[in-house]
Amino acid sequence: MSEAVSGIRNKKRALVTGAANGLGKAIALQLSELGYEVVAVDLDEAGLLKLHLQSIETVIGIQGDFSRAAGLKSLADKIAARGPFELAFLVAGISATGAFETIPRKNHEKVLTVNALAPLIIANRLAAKNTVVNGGSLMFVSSLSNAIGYPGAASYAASKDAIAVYAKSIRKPFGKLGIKVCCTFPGPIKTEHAARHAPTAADENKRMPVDRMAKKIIAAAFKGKPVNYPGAFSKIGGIAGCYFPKWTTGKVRKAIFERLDGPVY
Amino acid sequence: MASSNELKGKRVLITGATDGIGLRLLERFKDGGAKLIATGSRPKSELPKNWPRKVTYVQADQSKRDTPRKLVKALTKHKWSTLDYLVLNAGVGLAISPEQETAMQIRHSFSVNLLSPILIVRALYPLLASEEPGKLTLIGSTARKGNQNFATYSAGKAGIHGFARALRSEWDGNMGVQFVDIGPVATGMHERAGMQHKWWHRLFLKPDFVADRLFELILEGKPAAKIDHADWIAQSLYSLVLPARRA
Repeated sequence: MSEAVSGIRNKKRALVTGAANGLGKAIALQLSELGYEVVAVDLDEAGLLKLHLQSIETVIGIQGDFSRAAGLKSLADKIAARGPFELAFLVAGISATGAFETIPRKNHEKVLTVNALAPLIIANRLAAKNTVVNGGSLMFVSSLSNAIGYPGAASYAASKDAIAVYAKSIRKPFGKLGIKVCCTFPGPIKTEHAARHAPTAADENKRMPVDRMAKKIIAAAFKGKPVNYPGAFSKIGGIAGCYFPKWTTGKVRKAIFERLDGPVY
Repeated sequence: MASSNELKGKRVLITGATDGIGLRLLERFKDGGAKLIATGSRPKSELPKNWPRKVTYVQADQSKRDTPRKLVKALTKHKWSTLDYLVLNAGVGLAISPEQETAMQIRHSFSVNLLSPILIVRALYPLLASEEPGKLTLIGSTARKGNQNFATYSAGKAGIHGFARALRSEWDGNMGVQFVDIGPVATGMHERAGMQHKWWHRLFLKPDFVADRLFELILEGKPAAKIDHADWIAQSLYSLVLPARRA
């Protein structure tokens, strides 16, 4: 980069997908407080504008639909063109909860496309276009469900397992390009999204506040940690799921699947 | 091994059955007297010469969105309202460094290995959930723990594993959900995936051994299993000690 250009861009840049709401929004705001210029991608245009104003105008919004498989490459290239990034957080995600057979095919497809296909293609384009700075971190957001299983959200569980293994697979080859590939496995977070997909009887206070979760995930990205279980609940769940996979899946079934009021998608 | 009575008249659907493990598995079900519908991505005119007689073939390319609909249509046409065994075997691998993969290649692999199997299960659910519940078998891979030359493929197989885990719990004994990891097999998949033939590829599992084992496991209905070299050694020792078992 020439001096003239770097002079204009004296701020470090970060990418956050799914930045208009929930965890993505919390991460975007905290990064902006830390002095980053944040490239925020989301479907929700009004949410992006709100974020821009709330962040003292350090957010560059890109409106994009991660559920349109055919448009993912051009969206990813559009994102890459806003680089280079010091940090990239691939947060955008949706869910569909309920018994597998009660959820329409197109909603399963949407979950898998947004949660699995989109991050794969974005990560691939960022690397192919060399738009993560040397030593920068690329963070995938999987889920604690990867360790403990998630009856009641079969396609969601599939998508989160897929990106966890993708992150693991690309760690070495991306490492050679100077990109640190990280993956976080958060447990339940206190967001509107989580409340919508959890049983109504579930205790909201057991979920981690979104700001605390964002802080932990940002810290993990700074350290370039390959695997991150943020918070005690997620750590214990991760260990339990590793040693007693059937038992944990049975627990999730009782705690969530059997208490769901009906499908939500 | 299954007695022929056990499979007589049973309705079996196998995806990706035009070569490799799928084709061999198809032959074993056929020998057992099952009624079969099989899928593959190639046109009917390019079916292998040894294609078993009276097996209905449906050309269904799993990278295309219409696959589930095509299957439902074919089953309706043959008046199948129930399924005894659904074996989702179709898969495609591509050996490539992850940053060199194109977006199109990623999407293709994702559709064939992860999206389509899940949508097929969703579409055929009513046939599995009949009075006599059917059994679902999903084929995984030992690469699902992660592999830098097969990143997207590994991700797809890991996704199917997570799906099977959730579904098995949801269906809890009503309909069987089986997940079988298979190690490297000498079916030419690695060469098709773009890898050069190496001397150690000769050490890959023999397709007939894998098909025999898979057939056994499907009939047993064991929820989770792995067919790899350790299994091959165990089975070989077992048949040495109990030679009568395979007779």
